[in-house]
Amino acid sequence: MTKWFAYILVLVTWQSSPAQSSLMSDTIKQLPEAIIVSTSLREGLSGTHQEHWNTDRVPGASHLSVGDFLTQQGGVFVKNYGTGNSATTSIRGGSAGHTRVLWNGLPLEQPMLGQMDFSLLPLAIADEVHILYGGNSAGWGSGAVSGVIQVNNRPDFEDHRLQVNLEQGSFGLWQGNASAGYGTAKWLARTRIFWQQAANDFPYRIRPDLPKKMLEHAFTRQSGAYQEGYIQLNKHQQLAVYGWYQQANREIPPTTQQTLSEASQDDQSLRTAAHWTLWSERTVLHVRAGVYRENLIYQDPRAGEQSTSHFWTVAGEGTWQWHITPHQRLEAGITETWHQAATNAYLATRQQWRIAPFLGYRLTLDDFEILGVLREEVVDGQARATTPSLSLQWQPDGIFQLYGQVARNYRLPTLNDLYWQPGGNPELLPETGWGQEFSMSLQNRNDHFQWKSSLTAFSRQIKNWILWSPLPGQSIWSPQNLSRVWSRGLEIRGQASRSYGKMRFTGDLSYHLTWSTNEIAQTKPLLLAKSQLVYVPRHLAVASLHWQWRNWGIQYRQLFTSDVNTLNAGTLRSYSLGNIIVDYKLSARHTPATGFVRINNLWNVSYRSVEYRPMPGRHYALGIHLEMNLKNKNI
Amino acid sequence: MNALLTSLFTLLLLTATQLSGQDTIGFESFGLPADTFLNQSAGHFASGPVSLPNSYDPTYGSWSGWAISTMRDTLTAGYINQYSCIAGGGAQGSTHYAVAYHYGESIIRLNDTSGLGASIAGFWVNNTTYTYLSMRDGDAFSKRFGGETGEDPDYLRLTFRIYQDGTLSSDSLDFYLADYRFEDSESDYLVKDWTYVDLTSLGHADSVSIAMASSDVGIFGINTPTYFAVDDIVLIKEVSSRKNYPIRTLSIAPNPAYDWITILGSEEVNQPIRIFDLMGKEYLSGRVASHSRLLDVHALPSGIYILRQESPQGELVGKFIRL
Repeated sequence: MTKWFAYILVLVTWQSSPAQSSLMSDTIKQLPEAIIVSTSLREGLSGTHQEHWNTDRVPGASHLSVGDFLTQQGGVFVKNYGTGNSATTSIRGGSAGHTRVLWNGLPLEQPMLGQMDFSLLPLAIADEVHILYGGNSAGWGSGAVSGVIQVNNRPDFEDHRLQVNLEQGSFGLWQGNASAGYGTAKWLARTRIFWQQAANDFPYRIRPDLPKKMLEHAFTRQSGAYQEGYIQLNKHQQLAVYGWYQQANREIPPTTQQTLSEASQDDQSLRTAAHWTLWSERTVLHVRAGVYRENLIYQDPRAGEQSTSHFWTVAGEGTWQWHITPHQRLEAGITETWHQAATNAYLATRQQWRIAPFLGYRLTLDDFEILGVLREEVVDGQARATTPSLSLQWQPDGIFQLYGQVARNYRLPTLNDLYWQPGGNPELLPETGWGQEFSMSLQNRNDHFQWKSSLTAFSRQIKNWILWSPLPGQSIWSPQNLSRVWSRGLEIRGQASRSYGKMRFTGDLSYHLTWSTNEIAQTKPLLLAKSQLVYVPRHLAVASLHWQWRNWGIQYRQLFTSDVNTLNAGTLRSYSLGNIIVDYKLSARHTPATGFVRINNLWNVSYRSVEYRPMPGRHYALGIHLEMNLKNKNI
Repeated sequence: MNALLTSLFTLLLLTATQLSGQDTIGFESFGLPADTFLNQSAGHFASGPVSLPNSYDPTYGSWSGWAISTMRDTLTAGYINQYSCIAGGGAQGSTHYAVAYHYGESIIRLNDTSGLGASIAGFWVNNTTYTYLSMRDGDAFSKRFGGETGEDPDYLRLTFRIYQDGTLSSDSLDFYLADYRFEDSESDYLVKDWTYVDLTSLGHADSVSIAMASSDVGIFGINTPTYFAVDDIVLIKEVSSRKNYPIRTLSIAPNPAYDWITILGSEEVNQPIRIFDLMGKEYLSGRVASHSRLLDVHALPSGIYILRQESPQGELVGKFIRL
């Protein structure tokens, strides 16, 4: 029985797939047996490639937004409108709305646009960031078409630290965050606060022979607080609660084709969630629910515009797992999401209620694993999408692994698609399609030298792709299920780590080749058949080298993004950026500290990731990370 | 006496067929208060014989085609100020003007019922404030003309073609609301003052078709706000210039007349008649008394008038003098 119980706990605390980045196994903390924070077999979908980062192990990252963090890591194209301003993702040739974003398993996307602004997602609230590449709609619902990004918390009841991070950088950057955790073996409370402001008044050149310009009206400020609480109710129950308040004030700078801008955007959000877990010898019941209230105020005094939007989201999920045998596991669950949005353009308050039951089954044999998941999504009482997925994994030994997945994926129309006036189309169908991927990986580990490599091929067809186009004979644009998009590509990843005494080298290399083409020609918008989608780079590559010796660490990362098609200017030229960070750990008995210097865009490359939106050249940041053990200090 | 009158009538008719008149159609008749606009109609806005199509969707509160405006805001950027002309008012000191929200084709239609063969000779055009400021300063969706470097050869162009008897002319006339294509950037300009566009070189215009083109285009089409303003549409009338159907002569007596005239040459007693002066201005319409064929003209000012009567067999035209 003890063996069974341990097995369940290992499964529910972390679904460690061999497909994940090997860095993960270096950085996963040993969790106490009693702690259960995640219960779904979906987190460890065995047929897809996954990457994972423990945020406190990435030097100098705690101040970043998840958008900036993903930009630096590479592999995900982040469409960045400028430092501190809106940032959205494209994974495997999908649009921003094709990335599902989860906060401890609950959806985070803004319901009006159906996408996440990653510049408003601070890394400081997360203990880990996890990416599932590929379609996972069967597991995670609408929008999990090209990938799922999860920001999660992992409570460590033994961790009673006060951590303080301070950073000062170029262009008026000041950032700070602090977290403190305290508790006993039965409970844990952790508080985080974060604050950031930057003038972002960086110089840029339109052309080398033209004088420098300064970006104006680009001040940003963000602040927030995050509270977690975990209680072991008894040996079989745990309750976790979360509260997250955040506000952001952002001036929207002029484009390079705009003389001036007075526009600004204020975002406020209050998100709360509670997770309750009950487990027995063979079953785990997990219920989580979240209530969010978000406000978005856009103002442009010059144009006399003010637009205020309010959203409510109530998200819930209940899952029940049954470990039939040590090799078989069944999971049934139901997901609920209720959105309410009010904005001038809707003419009325709009609501949407989604409910999605799902069922999953995993069979594990000696070296073979199969996972099937089936989901049905019902929107406002109408069945909208049935999505099955089947994942396979074969690992004959500890070195070689084959894994793959066939899945149907979907994205529901956003509230803007349905209700925006003029043009909103309540008759829209969901975007749906099948995706396939296949991977093989090799890895080797010994005390001094570890390496891992993988090759992934994927293909995904999405029909009923939603495009806004003019209604016949009218000037009103309306979303229609017009197009079909075929995304396919290859991903190559390699990682190696070697130790020489107290010196350690780690190298990473990844390359992503993506064709994501519109298959049906359109006149408005003007899209040629077989043309690459806008803002989808065909080539993405990243190489990094991390050298660590005694208390010193140096990490250099070079990223390459090929040219992308844009809405207006044809193509935006490719760019390659180098970033370096040097850190030094001060060994102190109770208050260890780490200082770092970070230089981004080391080679001072002039580039843009969105047309007409300049990005900064070489810029610097100095920071310090302090830790204090609250228990030892008896605070 | 009869011979004298016949000679006089013949002389007048000959003179009239060679005469041309000119009329200017503004929009003051809408009587809007200052800083207001009218963007919804029963399909079109009519000012005299000029008709401006308008489409308004009450569901969305959206419109396209034409609006009538007295807006004077020359400072506020953005679509919220879409009805203002950059001149702060209409042409030649007027308060009312028309604003086009262009999509595909903008039409200025002439409902010429005078029979005088009126034609659109030209009109005054200008930028709206929204479009002007967008081209001057750029906005979140469209570029500042000249682009990032100030060197882009940008333009915003109106292209005019005319409809003649339902057929669109192949000839066209261009007018640039903004032109940054000059070698010397000092010559680049944005139109800010009302400018008269003379269309007479295109021929006799029953209607005018206007197309719009910009150098700032993306996959969604033109990025520049597609608005322009029009005022004081000039009509010319040439009686002899249109001969779409046979014109038969009516006999009118007495001629000259004081209070009453009798129509002598028409068998179509019940067909409506209309009376115009030589400038094409309509003074009377109605039917003659079938038993007497008498028509009361005492309310007409002294002058020369043309009486027209349409019938299935063609048009009947007579001319008389009101003493």
